[in-house]
Amino acid sequence: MDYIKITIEDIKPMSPFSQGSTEIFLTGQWSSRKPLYVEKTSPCRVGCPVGNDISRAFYLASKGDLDGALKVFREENPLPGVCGRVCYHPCESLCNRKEFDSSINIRGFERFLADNGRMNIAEEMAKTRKKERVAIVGSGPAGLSAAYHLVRLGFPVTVFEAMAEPGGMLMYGIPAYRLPRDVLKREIDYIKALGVEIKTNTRIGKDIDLASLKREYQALFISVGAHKAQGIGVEGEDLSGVMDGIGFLRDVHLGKRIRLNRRVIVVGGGNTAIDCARVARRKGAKEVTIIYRRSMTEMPALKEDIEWAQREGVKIMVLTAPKRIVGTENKVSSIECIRMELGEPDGTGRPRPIPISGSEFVLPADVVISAVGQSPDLGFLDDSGISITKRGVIETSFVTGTNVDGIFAGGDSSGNKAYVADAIASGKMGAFAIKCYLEGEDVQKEVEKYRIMDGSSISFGHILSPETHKADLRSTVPYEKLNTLCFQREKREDNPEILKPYRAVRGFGETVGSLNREGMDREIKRCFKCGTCTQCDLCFLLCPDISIVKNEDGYGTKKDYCKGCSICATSCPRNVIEIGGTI
Amino acid sequence: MMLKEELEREYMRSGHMGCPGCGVATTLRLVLKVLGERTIVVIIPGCHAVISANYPNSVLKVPCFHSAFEIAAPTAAGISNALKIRGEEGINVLAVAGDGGTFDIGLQSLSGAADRNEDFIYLCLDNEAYMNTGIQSSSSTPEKVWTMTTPGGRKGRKKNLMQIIAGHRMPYAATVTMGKPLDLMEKIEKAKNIRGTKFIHALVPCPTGWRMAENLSAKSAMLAVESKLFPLYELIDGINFRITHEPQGIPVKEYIKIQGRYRHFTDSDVEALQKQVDEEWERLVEKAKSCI
Ligand SMILES: Cc1cc2nc3c(=O)[nH]c(=O)nc-3n(C[C@H](O)[C@H](O)[C@H](O)COP(=O)(O)OP(=O)(O)OC[C@H]3O[C@@H](n4cnc5c(N)ncnc54)[C@H](O)[C@@H]3O)c2cc1C
Ligand code: SF4
Ligand code: SF4
Ligand code: SF4
Ligand code: SF4
Repeated sequence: MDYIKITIEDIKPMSPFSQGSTEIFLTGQWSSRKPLYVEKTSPCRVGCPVGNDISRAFYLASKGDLDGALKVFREENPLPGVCGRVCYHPCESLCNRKEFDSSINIRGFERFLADNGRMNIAEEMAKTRKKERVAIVGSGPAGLSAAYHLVRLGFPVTVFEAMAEPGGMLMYGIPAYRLPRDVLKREIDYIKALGVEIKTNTRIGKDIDLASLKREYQALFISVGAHKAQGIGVEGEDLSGVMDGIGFLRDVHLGKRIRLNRRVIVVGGGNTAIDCARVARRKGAKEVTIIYRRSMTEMPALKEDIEWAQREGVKIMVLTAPKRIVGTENKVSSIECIRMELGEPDGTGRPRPIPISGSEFVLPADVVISAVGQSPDLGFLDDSGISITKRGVIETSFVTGTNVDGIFAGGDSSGNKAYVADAIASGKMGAFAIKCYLEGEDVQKEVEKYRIMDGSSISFGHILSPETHKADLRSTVPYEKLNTLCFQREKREDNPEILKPYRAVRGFGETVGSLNREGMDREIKRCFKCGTCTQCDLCFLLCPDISIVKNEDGYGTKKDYCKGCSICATSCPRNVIEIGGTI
Repeated sequence: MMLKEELEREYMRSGHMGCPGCGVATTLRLVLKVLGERTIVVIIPGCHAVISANYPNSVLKVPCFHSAFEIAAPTAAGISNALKIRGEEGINVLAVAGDGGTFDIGLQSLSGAADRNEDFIYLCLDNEAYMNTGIQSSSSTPEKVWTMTTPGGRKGRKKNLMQIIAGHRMPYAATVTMGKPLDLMEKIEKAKNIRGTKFIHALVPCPTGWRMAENLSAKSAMLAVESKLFPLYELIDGINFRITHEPQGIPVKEYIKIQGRYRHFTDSDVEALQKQVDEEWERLVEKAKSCI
């Protein structure tokens, strides 16, 4: 106060003068309740099968660190560019923002980062190289994910792939208008650059047998997908002009000459059926009709993809099942169908479709594509002793172990939910289970340490860099715990359409584009960042007792003065603060 | 935007006698963060007087002068003029008074000082009753609200102080609350850089007097803003209104249901209040529109 030229002597005769500090009063003793900073798991992360740490990525992006945000995704997911395009985004269904205005475009964010962020490979390489070697059979998302995470844990990994190119259904199934192949190749190159060896054109069971793999490698992960098409199971399936969907898509990808100039019927309601229909339109078919035996709500394909198919001119007939394929001179000429109604739920929980007798009708057809389901081709496991379930998939435990010591399995071939993200999740779990197996650790116990809530995924961030990953994986943030008074309602930014349907059907160009920078910034700002401290300072600013201090990596409490009012905890927009102690 | 150092500096000390969750403490703390070291504070009787000193110990790290109840404004004006006579430049003079000291007891002297456009900032910490003497109603207490002296609810509406302030055509006046701390600090920053009389009306939650859980005090201030009950705006030269925060527009019921002083409100009371709030908001929006 030396700038004021008043001395105590000037004032003393007039009035009493306080010079001491109130800090001698330890008012913190008024209460034993004190705040604790505990970062939590965001609901979107709980919903993401891969276990992406979405809220943390949004936080880093909000600070301008897009590369850091991409790194957060890559911590868990080897294929952000793929998932950012084709994932069924269950993360968004659990997004808290949905209760406030509308869910965050998380998938668009993942794609934006994969397309625009940069990674430093040297930094991501494992520091140690362990001696136990692991073989992976099949290079679909499950196999690639297992390989990626194993190599990051320090294990040398070799992937064996029957086809000429790696990627599984991502390469040979999902069409390029949804997943451009350069995006996929870039992500596979990245996995290779980390040290994963991929041997293509090598079919296990034919080129190399499983027994010799077992001898050479200390652990195996089997993820051969489900590529055997199931028949429709009606008369006339052997007619010329009837094809299986998976084979059709593969042939198109391989560039085989296919022209469909007239009427195509696609049987099924999943991703494969929708894609077959959309590809058929691109291959010249004038009239494409999907017939599906349940109703629109039960269709397993993604709503937005169904809408695209419809806008591209695909007709969808629901509650319709094939009864017989009719041919002339051994060639398809029509398909006899029957109307269905929905009954009680069946074993899968969906209503059972029941034929309405007498409702048969005939649709003319030149080509019938069956896309009613696929099952794994597990012939090569015949002498391995690995047990196969009644449904024809590899029997595994929660942590992907089979009944044979040292052999693990995941993805579509072990009956996983048939989505890319779930395949990746099983690959992650497999990698971790193999690590525990090879290092003699108790898998169940280890998994529980890193498991995200009660979900199917574990946090590799917590496994690989525990010093920077402190969020509590066992608690999440319900909407009611957020302080939404700190936010404003804002419109959701969706990915733009870059091809109109009538142009889209002329080729295989990508139909949906990336968010632009401005749109992305709005979504980044809009995300609440549930459970992640954004260092917004609100708690610090609101404390009436000047008891929160800012330090390098966050905030601390002055216990001597904190009166335990809990303003900080109640006001935190993101539910980061808990009040500990007893009253 | 404030600099990081400005945000982190403190001119208030821990160990004060404020109730847990006290809104006066936080509000004063935020204001002083912006005004900084070169500030002289004038305090008159009120909660802030109890909090700011406990003889011979002081909460404030800046000089502070305790004056009489009805003369916060002229005391500050006097100090401000004395500094000028001595040739001291760039020292902020801040008069702090409660709603009692502003709406009721100090109104006449504030009016005089404002009329002369004396150079100081007047901060009204409005917790809507005489709280430190035991929750007696003031002319700031909202209609039908419970206090010790209005057990059946106060008759008459809360005085519209900002209208009176507007009539003085001060260079700067603003409403603030700790519930929106950045808005508050930006306004103080503006006030600091304007010469003449600046008036800051702060709605200050009081867990004790509002009969409310102490953890809800900041949240109640946020609710007051987001429900449009306490709009945040600036008033330049007494005529130009600018709304500084677009409220979410949540029902006013959310604000009153966490406070015991509103507990006796019937559904029709709530409805009437909602109507009042909506009308006042419309009026403000109209005024703000014509000012751009
Ligand atoms: C047309 C279509 C569209 C789809 N669209 C979506 C979508 O939009 N979103 C979504 O989430 N999911 C979609 N899916 C599902 C998704 O592609 C699969 O669930 C996922 O690819 C399964 O991964 P996987 O690794 O288990 O198996 P796959 O991807 O099938 O990979 C298995 C790999 O193993 C190889 N292999 C098989 N046998 C052997 C052997 N004996 N030796 C060596 N290699 C072998 C195969 O060649 C293949 O490369 C779609 C599927 C299809 C068919
Ligand atoms: S992988 Fe799928 S569920 Fe997970 S964050 Fe990406 S879009 Fe969401
Ligand atoms: S608001 Fe953000 S952090 Fe919260 S659930 Fe949605 S995406 Fe996740
Ligand atoms: S209020 Fe802000 S700074 Fe404090 S814990 Fe919550 S997010 Fe972090
Ligand atoms: S706001 Fe301050 S006094 Fe209240 S509980 Fe938090 S740290 Fe303690």
